[in-house]
Amino acid sequence: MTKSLTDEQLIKLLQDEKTKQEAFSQVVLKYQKQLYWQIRKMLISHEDTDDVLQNTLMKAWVGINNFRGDSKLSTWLYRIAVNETLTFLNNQRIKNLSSMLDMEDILLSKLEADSYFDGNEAEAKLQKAILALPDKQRLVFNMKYFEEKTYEEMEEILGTSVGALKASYHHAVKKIEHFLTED
Amino acid sequence: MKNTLQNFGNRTPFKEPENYFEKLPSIINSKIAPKKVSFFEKTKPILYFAAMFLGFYVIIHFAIRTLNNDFDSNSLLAQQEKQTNNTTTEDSYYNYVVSELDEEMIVDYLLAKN
Repeated sequence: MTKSLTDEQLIKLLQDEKTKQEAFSQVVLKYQKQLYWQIRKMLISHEDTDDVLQNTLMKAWVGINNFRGDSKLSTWLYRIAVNETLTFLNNQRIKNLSSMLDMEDILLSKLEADSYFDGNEAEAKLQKAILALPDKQRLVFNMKYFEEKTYEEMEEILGTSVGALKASYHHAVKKIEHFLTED
Repeated sequence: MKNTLQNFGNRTPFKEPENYFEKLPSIINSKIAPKKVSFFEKTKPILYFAAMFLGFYVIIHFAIRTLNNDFDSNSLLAQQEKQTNNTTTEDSYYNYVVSELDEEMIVDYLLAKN
């Protein structure tokens, strides 16, 4: 099996029990980087990202028989990753209810302690500004700004209308620019 | 200089651990690979069921045997008691009849019969 299989070919192979496992390995190879970076920008820590990515892929494996190709394979995988990421963040919030730290502080401390952070001071400041956004707005901002997804693609993944996504991105940009010009 | 988004570019300022994307597919593959099940693992439910059935059989068998033994010994005792009671009654009746008779009555009876 070569790496150049299209999504349609992969879906066909995934529906056959004999080729299912090998096809799924190809899916992992094809989409692991996109999914990893989407989750990583939300969770900051590599360890958390690794956990959530593995859960995402295992959920995709378990649910692959129910995937009928109504949406693109990548969209379906992104959707699982988004749900897993938001669930992880909510669980973290519940876990940290007793401590006085909110999620923004926790993610900020992870950013500061992250040995895999590869940016300069300005990029660190931008990340801090992004972390101040609510989860869903942050998700929209990351998808549009870093991954350069179209609003239509984002609409399919997030199930939010293009108009609402545009408004959300616009607000996010304003908040970030305000944060960056504060001092 | 005013800090606006245009000055930052959209590079992701994170990196992943070395060889992470080379290792992840094999980790996922090992999780989704069908596990080899031994003969014992396959037959375990049947063996458990058979053992349970055998256990029930032994318990029920011994329970029935114990009940039967109790019943048998009880009825034997009752029968013996009944027999003893009957014998006692017959003996006492015989003794009573004999005690009521005297020699003269027996002689009269025999003479009358002949």
